[in-house]
Amino acid sequence: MLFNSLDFAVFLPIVFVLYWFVTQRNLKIQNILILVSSYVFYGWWDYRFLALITFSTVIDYLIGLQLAKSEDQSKRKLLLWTSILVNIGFLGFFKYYNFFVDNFVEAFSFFGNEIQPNTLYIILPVGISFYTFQTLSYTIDIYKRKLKPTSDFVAFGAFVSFFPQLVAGPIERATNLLPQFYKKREFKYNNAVDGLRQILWGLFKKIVIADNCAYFVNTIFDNYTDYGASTLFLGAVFFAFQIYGDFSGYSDIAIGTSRLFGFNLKQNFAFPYFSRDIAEFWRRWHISLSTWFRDYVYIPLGGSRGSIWNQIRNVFIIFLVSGFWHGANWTFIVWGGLNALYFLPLLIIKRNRVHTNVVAEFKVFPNLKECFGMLFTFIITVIAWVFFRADSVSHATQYLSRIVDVSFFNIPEIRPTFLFVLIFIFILIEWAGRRQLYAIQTLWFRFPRIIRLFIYYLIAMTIFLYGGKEQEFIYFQF
Amino acid sequence: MRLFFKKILIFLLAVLLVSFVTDYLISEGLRTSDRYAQGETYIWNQILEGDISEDIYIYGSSRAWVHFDPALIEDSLGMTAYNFGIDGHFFWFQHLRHKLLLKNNPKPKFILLSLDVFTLTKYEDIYALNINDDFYNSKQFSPFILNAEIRQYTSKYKGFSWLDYNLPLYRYYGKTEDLREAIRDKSRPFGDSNFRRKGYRAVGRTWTVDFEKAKSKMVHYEVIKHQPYVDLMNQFLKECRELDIKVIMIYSPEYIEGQEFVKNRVELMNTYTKISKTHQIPFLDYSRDSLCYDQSLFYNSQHLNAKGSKLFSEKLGNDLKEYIFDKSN
Repeated sequence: MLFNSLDFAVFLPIVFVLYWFVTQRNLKIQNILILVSSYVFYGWWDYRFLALITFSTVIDYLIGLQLAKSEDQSKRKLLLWTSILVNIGFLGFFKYYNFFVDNFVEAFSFFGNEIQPNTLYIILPVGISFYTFQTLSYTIDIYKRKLKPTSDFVAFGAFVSFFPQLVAGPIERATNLLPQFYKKREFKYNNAVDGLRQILWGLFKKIVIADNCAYFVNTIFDNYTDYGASTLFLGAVFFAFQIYGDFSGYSDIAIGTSRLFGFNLKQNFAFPYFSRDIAEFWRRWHISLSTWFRDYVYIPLGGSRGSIWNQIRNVFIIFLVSGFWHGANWTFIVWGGLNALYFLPLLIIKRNRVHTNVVAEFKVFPNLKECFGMLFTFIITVIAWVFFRADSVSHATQYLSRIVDVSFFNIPEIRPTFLFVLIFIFILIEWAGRRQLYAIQTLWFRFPRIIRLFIYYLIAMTIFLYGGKEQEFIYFQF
Repeated sequence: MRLFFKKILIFLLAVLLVSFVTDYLISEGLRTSDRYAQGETYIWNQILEGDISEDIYIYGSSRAWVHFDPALIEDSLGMTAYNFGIDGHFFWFQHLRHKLLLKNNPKPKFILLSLDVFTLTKYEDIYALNINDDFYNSKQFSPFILNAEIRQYTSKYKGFSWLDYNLPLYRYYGKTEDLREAIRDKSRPFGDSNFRRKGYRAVGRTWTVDFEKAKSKMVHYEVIKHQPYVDLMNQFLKECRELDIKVIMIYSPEYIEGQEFVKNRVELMNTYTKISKTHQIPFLDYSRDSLCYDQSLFYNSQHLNAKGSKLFSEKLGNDLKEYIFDKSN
């Protein structure tokens, strides 16, 4: 069920009414409702996916209980590795099996040994990378004794499958989300209104910005040999806005929906395109994944401690693994590697934690240095996004090599004026709201109520009339 | 909670109200557009507004649309004419036009009913392969979807959903080009001021496809008659007789070598002959006319280009004199 579908527009009010009017007196029943709704939501794609998530839930629930009971370190390690192997095993099979087989076959044929590929027709369960990481964090945190396991299976099941963030995050930690299932949720008017506002903004990002960009991105990337350098660059810029609008839009809808039900999820995007360097960008982009890798991979590897070579190694590992997490294709690995290369100079000169505040925090406009920093960071990010979007590494390199051409200074062949205007307005709003959790959170609070309402109606109408052709959320494939 | 629901309800009601108003404004803007949906919307609007007052109505599909030049027919006959040919659609929607024409406008003296091999067929979704699940050029009906007859006829096809009919604005969802067209300054012509002249469309292009090559790839196919449409045509002719409207059935030229691909062509032609005999109306068959042998007069095997349609319309104008003046006077 897509957030921007009619199915969800019917599903959400039904669950909302049942949640606050029918089951609100009994926490257990309310959690059961969340669990059942989440399974309906997930099963809407393909009911067969439910078996996988149920299995994963049961395994980690049982392992969690055993981990807490046991004092024997070797047994605890065994339990932890069982959880890791089961979860990563599922992920590996469903997501990476064919990739590895294909690459083995290619490697063998390179050395003159022809072997028949034994690939399988595997449907990738939607959101498997997200809930797998969520359950893994649960067992790892229990293993590290940072968290007590839950004996409440319903609460745990609801935590794993919580429908607002099940298929594309934010990847929640058990330490944050699970305790919220133990407490009675109170309906708070301001939270609910704030949630709706965030949903509205998320829909705008997804339907107006991302889906409209997607149309031109697909045209340009699929026919890149027909266009000049300036159009190709524009295509890459459009993709930067598409992926941001798509993914952060999804996160906004997820967080907003959760707020309607009295839950608080973590912020997943913090205006990443206003970053002054790549390190800041990665603190602001897909925060829940970056912090997951930081806490469960980077720090256990030694993090920023140890020799500079160890630090460089750790940075590469984290970016390459993060790239691979996105998909079974070399393009994602190159994308991760490229970001590691961008990050490296900052690490070496120890300037990777310079920009920890909001850009132009107490000013309206940034200064020249900040402007240059943001522009430079955006451009190198756009270059990396070409690998992310391309079908293959050679597609990406050919695309990029065509950008380096005198035709870069020509007027692009594709000039969708309405999209330029929309993106410009979007950037202005995001800039004005960059100090908040999402751009329009309190942006127009100083205006009279009637003006505010007018703006919200305008956004709603723009979503309706300027909505691009419905596209699935990009991150569902990861 | 009560306050929240109250405010949500008010917000949604206001959204609904704004949607109604926006829907109305977009629909009004599109109704007067002479180019939207290939100019069909403009014609539907004229029909519904009662702006038609002609002696001769021309009905048919795209073949009527591009073959019958009303100006030349008017010159020959000294009567006014209007071409109501509707691209991509067969007798079902032609009949809808007829129904709405009679309901909102004075009845004509004559109807020229243009036929082709597909006139009596029914496709659930005629161009599904290239236009998603829509039926061809369905957007021509969007501004008029509240009209009962249009609703009744369009709902027989795949294309508009329940929500399109019942939720304001829904059918314009994501159709940015519709919005832009609706708010465009209509006093400024969009280029080709002769895009449709009294419904007629002159197509200037010539046939560039290598027919011999295309022929080798084409398969012979059978056109299935839809019996309810045969009945509907009979009903239509009966009603016209009762209203004293003279109908003349016309099969306009088709490129001769293209005719062989329809396996049951003879059967279809016999059906038209039978219908004309039953209702005792003239049937002018130009499918073997000398025009059919000259490829330079066509832009594809079914359609005459501007040069071909000029020759045909002049010839038809002359031929019609016999039927119109002898039998109507």
